[in-house]
Amino acid sequence: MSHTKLQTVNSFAENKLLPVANKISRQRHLLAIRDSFLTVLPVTLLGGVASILSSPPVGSKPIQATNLFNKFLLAWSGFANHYSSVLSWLYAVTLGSYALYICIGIAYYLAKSYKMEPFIPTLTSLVCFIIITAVPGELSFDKKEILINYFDGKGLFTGMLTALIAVELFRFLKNKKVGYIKMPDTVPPALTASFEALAPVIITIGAFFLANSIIVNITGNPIPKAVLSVMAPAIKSADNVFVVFIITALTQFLWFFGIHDAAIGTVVGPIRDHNLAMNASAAMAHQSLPYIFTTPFWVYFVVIGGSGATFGLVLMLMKSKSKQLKTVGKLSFLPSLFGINEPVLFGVPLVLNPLFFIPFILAESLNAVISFLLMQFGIIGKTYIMGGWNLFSPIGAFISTMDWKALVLVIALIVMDTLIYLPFFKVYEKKLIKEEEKEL
Amino acid sequence: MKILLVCFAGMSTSIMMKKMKESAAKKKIDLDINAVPLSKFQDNLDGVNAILLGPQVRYAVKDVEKTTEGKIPVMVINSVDYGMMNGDKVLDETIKMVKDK
Repeated sequence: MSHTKLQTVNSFAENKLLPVANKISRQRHLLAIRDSFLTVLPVTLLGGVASILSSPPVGSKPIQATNLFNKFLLAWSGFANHYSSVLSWLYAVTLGSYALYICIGIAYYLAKSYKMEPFIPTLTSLVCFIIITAVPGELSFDKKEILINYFDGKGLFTGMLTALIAVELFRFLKNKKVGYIKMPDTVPPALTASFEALAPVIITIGAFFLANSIIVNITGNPIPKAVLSVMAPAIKSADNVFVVFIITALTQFLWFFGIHDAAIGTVVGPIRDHNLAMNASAAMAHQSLPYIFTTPFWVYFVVIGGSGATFGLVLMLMKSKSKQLKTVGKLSFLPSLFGINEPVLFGVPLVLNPLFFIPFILAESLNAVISFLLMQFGIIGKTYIMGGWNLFSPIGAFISTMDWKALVLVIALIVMDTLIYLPFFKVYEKKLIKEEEKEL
Repeated sequence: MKILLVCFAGMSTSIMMKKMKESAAKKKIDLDINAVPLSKFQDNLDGVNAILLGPQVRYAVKDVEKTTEGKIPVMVINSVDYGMMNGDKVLDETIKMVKDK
């Protein structure tokens, strides 16, 4: 690519891509959804712990207590069996109630983004969520039973929609001053506020209650089941290697212009998290895991060392004879362990550097394709635990699958990524060394 | 002087924060600096003299300016300086920007 061509491409990015990226990644509702998913992470992590504890990595073959490791596995197995009901409960109130917490989070952040006092709209959304998602059993004075099996991944989309609709409806009613009661000035402001919200809260909850009663009466099924029957086939069909390849390549394409992939992550993120929650529930129930494209899949198997799968490249940079590359390498090593690689992206740079266009897109896309296929063919375990965004990839890969082969795979992918970058790195290094010699 | 660094998750800007702190200590400048995620920058504007954006979130510069109503100068960090984590230069440019305001 010549210099002027590069400028044309760059101005295309600045004029066309940036506004779109900004629109999507700053969109109020999507932003509330994303913030909610990010914020409930501690609770989902706890669910992951319950998941790990209840699934010791032992196969169907009985193992003998021949060595220390096997003894440890046997003890773990015994623990998991003995405390299975406690662990299931811990799971049920954490990851097993994912939809509930996501709903609360979205309502909170959306209300905040409108500069509303967030407590009342959040509470309203919560009541609406329980109305349509919990399935009542017996509801007498001293005994109340509700089924909460739609509180987990199965109710996630219902939870997201509930929060968005409830907050918007509440806001609409409040702005229109529906049922507004004028209080004398001497009434404390807090009291006025609660009166202000009275009618909007009652109408919002009433609307959900009515809708729920009608739909349940006609279809005989709770609303989340209907939502799921619409969403699940679409999401299931998106869980294939071509879609994942396109998402990866597109992410890298944006990063090539130095634009954070927030716009894509904002849209794809909830789907990845939904898939993770479904896998986690399936794992707890000892069923086969339905999805491959999850958040840990993305973080640990695809974006190894940061966008562009640059971990191997960083190792080469550290040993480079070019002063600039060596500086960047040293600067990037530690952050890279935790998946942060902006110094590599902007320091080498990889961004807008036509020489690196091919490996920058290829390495990460191949990571995605290879990992996906190996999971699809059952050679590597699928992911069902999220261990935090900044976990070093090989370790994260192991924890998220509880399969040691995943660790081996990620190390192999690092070697592959290094080889993909190698020829391009050599050419670029040579060029830089020449320039650096000239400067001396 | 109080500077707010903003990137997507507040991770990579925290490297820049460290470098700028080192530079300020060398130059004996009293610097209060903080790195935050883009979604939280509104909550951290108290007494801030300058906002610096990482180049990867440069798409948000207009939104940031709108939120601060132009009262706080905003700068997108030059991508090469960001990559090399050139805290010295970025600090100098920030000081200049605040003075020129």
